[in-house]
Amino acid sequence: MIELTRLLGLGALLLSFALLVVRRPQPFVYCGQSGAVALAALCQAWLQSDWQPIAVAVVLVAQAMVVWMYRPAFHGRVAFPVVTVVAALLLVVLATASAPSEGMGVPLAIVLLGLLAAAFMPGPYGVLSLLNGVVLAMVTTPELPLRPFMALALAVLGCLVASDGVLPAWVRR
Amino acid sequence: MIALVCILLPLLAAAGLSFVPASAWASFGCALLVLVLVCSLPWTADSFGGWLLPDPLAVQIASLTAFAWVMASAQSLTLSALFGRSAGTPGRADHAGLLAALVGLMNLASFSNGAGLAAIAAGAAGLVAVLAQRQETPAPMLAVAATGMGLALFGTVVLYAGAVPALGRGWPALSWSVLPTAGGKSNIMAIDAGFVLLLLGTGISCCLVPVSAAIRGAALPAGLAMLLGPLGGIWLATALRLRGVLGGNVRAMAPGPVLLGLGLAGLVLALICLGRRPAILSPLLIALLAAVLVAFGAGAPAATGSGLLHLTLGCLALTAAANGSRLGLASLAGLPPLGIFGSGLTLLTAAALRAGWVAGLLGLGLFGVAALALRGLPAEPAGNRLAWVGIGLALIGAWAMPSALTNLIETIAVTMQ
Repeated sequence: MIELTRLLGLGALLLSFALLVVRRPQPFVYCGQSGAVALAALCQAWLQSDWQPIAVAVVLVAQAMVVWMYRPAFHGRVAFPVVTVVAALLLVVLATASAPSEGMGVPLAIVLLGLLAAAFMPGPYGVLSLLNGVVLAMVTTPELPLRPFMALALAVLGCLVASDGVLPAWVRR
Repeated sequence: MIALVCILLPLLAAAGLSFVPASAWASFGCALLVLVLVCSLPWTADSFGGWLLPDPLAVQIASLTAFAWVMASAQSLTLSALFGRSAGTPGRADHAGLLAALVGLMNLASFSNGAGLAAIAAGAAGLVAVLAQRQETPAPMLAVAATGMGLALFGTVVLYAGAVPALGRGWPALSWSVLPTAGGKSNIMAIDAGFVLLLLGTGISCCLVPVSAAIRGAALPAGLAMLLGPLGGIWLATALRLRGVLGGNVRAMAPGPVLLGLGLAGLVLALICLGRRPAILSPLLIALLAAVLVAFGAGAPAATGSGLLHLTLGCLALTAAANGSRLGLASLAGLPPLGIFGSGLTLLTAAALRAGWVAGLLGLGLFGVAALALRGLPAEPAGNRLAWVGIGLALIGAWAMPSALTNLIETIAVTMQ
């Protein structure tokens, strides 16, 4: 089960790369990444004998459904594609080599790639991918308090970002 | 129990104010009640099972928040009296429900005894501030708010992972009251990384609205602007608590240079925005927060105390400046004889005792801010009567501060090392 969790984490990292290089199926790639992180959360729930990662997985799937429902438009392609991909590779090496603690390398790499995508790619998918990295770090850290609340807070923000102004207007009303 | 009421009352009010027609009066009543309750906190001791930490630092920030809410509600009342209750008036633009929710989340961030809960509350408060800012929220601002909260929560996870070897799993590894005792067994690399990520993430969440407004040269709604000072204070309180966490471990990185660097960068940003744009309130707020951060970076108790004094007087002056008062804006810019001019001098003295070059850079920055702000002061002398309340309180705070408040600041300066 530990190997499966690692495999799912690596899958989520690969999909972070895919977000940087593919053009059209961005919502599909993002939802795939959310699914991989949700499955990793379920594996962790079984490993840790804890209900909290299950709640996190449910929240994550609900968020992915909202993002799929709105499917914010992808307005263009990554600026400086070659430079961005080289920078992404360097960031992954940096994250895995200098992970602050055990098991934090892959989530850190996803967060850094999300930051890179948010900086160089139009649309909300870079930020949403970053949030997935944070959720992966939360579920792989045993007995971290308040995990469902943290995931819920991130999901609310993710939905507000993805809804392209529709949900913020509703909240204000 | 009182701290819990101070959190829940504004949140319940936020739900109610969305449906009550006479929202300005209800908001004013709730704000007054919360201010009275917060002021009674130093004489009570409750931690709600270890989840809340109403220590002097939290009480100081919460009292600034409650005072700003009272002034914001009074502002709303004044506008309601002028324009009536019809939708679309300037009084309605302040969103009484959103401001109450902002206050509840700010109190939660102040009182929570845990990095995780504080990061969630600060991130949510930053989001509410973004939503309350204007009629249509631009998507990039929401994306930046989400990035800030994501970084803060990632920093929380990393900080927890670093403290677990010393404190064991569970709530104590995230508790502000226990984390400084983590000591040598903790994972230093993770603690250091957690410090940087949490500081940056919370900073983005709490300072997004003033920084965005300063860069765009946009004006802020008065009620929201009054609350942005204490919201920045929450970030500064988090920085102070994180400095304590690193200070408890001799192998950890020195937090001073990071805080100094961020503070000086903030001063440079404020100077650039003041030089380019006509709206000066947001750059002055950034300069205020940056100067306090530089003082915290200097590290000595005298510098910490003068930083807190500067923040307190700055928030008082902000209530006058947000109303468009020329005297209030001049006071916030650090011009004599009102408000934060005196605390700015003590800030420089405390910084000079620590390092001469810090005092030199800080002095240059504060002088530049005051000089550039002079160009942008409004022609009208005062916005409305409420501005005079803020000016009067800033005057009292500068020249005859109550001993209870000075004792509170001294206690924080000594204990938060």
